[in-house]
Amino acid sequence: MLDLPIEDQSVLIRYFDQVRRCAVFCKLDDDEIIQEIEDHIMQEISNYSKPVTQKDIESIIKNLGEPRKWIDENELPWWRKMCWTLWRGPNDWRLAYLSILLLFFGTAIAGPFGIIASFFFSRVVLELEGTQDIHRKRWLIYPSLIIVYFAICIIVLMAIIYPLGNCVKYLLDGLFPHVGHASFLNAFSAFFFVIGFFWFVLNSLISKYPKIVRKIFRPFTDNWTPKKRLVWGFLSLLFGIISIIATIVF
Amino acid sequence: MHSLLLDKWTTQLKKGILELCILNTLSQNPQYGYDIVRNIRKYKDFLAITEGTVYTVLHRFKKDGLVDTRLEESTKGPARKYYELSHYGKDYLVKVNKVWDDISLTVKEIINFNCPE
Repeated sequence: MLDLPIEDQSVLIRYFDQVRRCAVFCKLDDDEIIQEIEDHIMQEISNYSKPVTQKDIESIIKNLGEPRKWIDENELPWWRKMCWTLWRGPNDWRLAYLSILLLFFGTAIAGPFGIIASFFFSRVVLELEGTQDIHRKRWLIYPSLIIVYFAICIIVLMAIIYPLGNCVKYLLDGLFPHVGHASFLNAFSAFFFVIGFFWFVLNSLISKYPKIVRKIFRPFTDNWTPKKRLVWGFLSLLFGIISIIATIVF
Repeated sequence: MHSLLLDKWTTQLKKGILELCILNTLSQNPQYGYDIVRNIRKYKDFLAITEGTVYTVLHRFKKDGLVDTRLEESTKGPARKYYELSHYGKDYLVKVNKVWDDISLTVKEIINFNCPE
């Protein structure tokens, strides 16, 4: 222990233990860090004109800051950094890590409820941050967002396409009875029709109700511009044409 | 809400400045860790740091090759670790200072242009 003119060095010992615990799995040498802390304390008390007391040592330690501050987070393995963030924050990163953990472990335990819980955490992170700092967290929050948005799109489309699909099938069977049983060809046409219709519906919705759609599908629609409407419209038309050609040619 | 935003922005800005300040502290001559802390201490409240953070930054500089370290025996106690800018660190400092000058001049121009006194 240090050669200090105080009897009770328990505060110091506790501080060193906490620093060593923070340095576990860190690339830095904890002995080197402890040596620096000891050197700092000895230099500090060498400037004292009056006898050093327990309170002086506590004040020096307080000025040095939390034990965690001695460890550069970049030196920690990713899982340790994650645990550290989960334990101490900041809140936005904590929520982002919770989102991805819930997606994997929550889904394994509770099925779709895990996905829904993960989705809510991701949305909270979005609301906290806007879109400024999302880029660094995207790998943590995007998976659950994509899954839920995709599910919403499928549900909305199926609600429209299922009744329409029956009409289209009836039409195809009526117009081209000789290919009525070629399920692959029907499926091929239907596939392109569905994709084209999907882009058409999405384009229409976002053009008509841009605020609502942006609110629902954040952050993927944040950068939507009217110019992109033309691109999406073209895509839907292209798929529709392919669908028609496939139906006619075959 | 606005004070929270201001705090967040200020904290990020000061984090970036801290490394610049420590590098400039080392620009004149090699110093040991405690001396650097003492020089930065005057600005501790402005930079919103704890003294331990200075050592963390110095470790990072060493890992990045910006500083070299050496141990020197001391008559007043254990051997002291001295930090000194490496050749690469000196080049880096010149560039970083130039960037800082450019940024501060540009920002000042923008502020003066848009919010003339």
